[in-house]
Amino acid sequence: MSIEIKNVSKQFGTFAALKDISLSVPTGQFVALLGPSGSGKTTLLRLIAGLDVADCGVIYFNGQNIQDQSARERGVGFVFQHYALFRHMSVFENVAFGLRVKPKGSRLDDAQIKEKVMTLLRLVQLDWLADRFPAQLSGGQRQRVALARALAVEPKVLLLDEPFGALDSNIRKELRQWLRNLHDSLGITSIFVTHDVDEAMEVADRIVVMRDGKIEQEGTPEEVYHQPANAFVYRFIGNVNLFHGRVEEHEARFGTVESTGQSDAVRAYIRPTSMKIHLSPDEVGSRPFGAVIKRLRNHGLNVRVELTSEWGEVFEVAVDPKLMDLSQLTPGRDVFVSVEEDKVYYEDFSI
Amino acid sequence: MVGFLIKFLKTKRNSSRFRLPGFGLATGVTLTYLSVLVLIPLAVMVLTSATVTRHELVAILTNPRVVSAFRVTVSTSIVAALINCVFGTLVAWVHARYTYPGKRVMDALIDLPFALPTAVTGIALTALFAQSGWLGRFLIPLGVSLNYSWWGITIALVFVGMPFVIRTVEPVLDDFDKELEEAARTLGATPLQTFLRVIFPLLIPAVLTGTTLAFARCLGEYGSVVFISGNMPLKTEIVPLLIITKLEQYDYLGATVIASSMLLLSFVLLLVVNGIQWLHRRRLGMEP
Repeated sequence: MSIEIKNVSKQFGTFAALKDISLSVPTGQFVALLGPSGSGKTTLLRLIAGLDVADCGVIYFNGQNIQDQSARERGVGFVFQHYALFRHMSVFENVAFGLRVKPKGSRLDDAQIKEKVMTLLRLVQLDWLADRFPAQLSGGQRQRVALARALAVEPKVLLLDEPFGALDSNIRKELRQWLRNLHDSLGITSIFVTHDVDEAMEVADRIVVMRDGKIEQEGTPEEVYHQPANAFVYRFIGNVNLFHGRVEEHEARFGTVESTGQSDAVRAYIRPTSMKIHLSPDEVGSRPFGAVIKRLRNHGLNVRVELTSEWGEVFEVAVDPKLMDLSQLTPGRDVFVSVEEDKVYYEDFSI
Repeated sequence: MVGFLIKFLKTKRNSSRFRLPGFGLATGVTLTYLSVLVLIPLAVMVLTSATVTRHELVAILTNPRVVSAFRVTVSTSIVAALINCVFGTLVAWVHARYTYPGKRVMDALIDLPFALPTAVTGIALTALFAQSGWLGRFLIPLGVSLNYSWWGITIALVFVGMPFVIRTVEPVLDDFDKELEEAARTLGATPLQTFLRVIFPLLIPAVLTGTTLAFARCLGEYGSVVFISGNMPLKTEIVPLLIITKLEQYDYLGATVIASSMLLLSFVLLLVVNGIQWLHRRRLGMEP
């Protein structure tokens, strides 16, 4: 089922949670709503589910306006951040809930319900826990029960609110891949909310970056990472270094350049991977500047070098141990840093 | 008993690695407090009644007046507790879920039966249902005379027990996880199905606790009932009143025997309800 959101706004008291959002999700896609807390991503998810009502704007499922349909009529599966399992019911009954509350005419009989629930539990690899109660399960197991419960009513759209938010990092990684495979095998449309960039990058077909109730950028993980629409997206997706500078004669200047007369503040964001350390100034590199090594940190595959620039700003550069001799980089040593100019993002700067 | 408690607390103490300071002092104060206020007086009562021979015991407890008093007390208490169970839950629901004008006043009114001297309640209700009373003047011509009747006692007990169910169910509703209802909605449940299958089952422990407390309170209620019941032996005489009557007749033994049986009844009841709650929690995996 395709989802089309047109000019949707939502206000809570004086707080504008969503400001004129438009978004379309084609059938079968796995979309991540990514943003810091308070960016309105969960609100948008709840509007799609029908748990909240938009102040204005329209949502279409398969081209059909569903504004007047309640949450129970929309046929969406919703997985809550804290699972919202019914703790007085066994795992089996939790999953069977959606089947048991169907109106008499379309309800399956007990044997069919049993078969279907067990099939779902096998799908989430929890059939051996059918008789347990939620309190007896681990976080990851609860998460999968919640998912099985949502899938029992055969939703055309699956909505997940921070699905892995409350789990350990190693279980998260495992479940991510599993969820992606599940999505592909079911052929449904899924939207999930997250504030974890890695999670969105790894799982989603498309990423919608949100901030302050607005969509900042929408695109594939590659687009969002390599062609960020603005400084916010660049800064939010991945680590960045922040440099303060001034605008002078229609040019942004950073560092020790003399400041004369009136100048506007400007900020530049540069990824640690877009800078290079050189031991002497005559090595290649455009417009290098001087810096002092503060310390080295190991980050698994690469090494992060923390430096202080000659004008006193602290920043990080990623170094590939295979390309550079780490023994040369001793704390306190003076080095030169070059920047790939096309990977610099400026904020509040217009020429 | 006390020795057993201390032993029990000691094992608890060793099993947890961290505890706040002051455990010894606090436990000592707690045990002393409970002993002086509850255990010792009750023990004296039980010991006094234990001096009675089996023959005397049977004679006292099978006395028609005593049997009748027990029957009146227990039956009115059960009915009053059940009425409070239904309507108390309803009031708690409305009170926790909705905002309405005068909610704060209502809040104070709910607690009023806790605070009001029970004699005041008794006099007020009796005046209300008397021949010239506000309600009595309409009810008595219809042949409904509540004063000096079984139903009159029940009404007084409903009044006295009202806050218990409301005040135990309300906090549970206040803290109720809204996501559970939302989950039920997205799974296709109607509002009625959501209430019956999701909300109510989670309220049952609180409703049960509240109803038990109301029932226990009704069993011992004296002040409000004596005015409205008329205290007719074999008809509307309640157990607490019978105890007082026996004491006034210097029949201390009779009074303590009846009192001890009341104590046993209340204790067994509370034990059973706690047992049910514990079993329920254990079944849900919330208790080891």
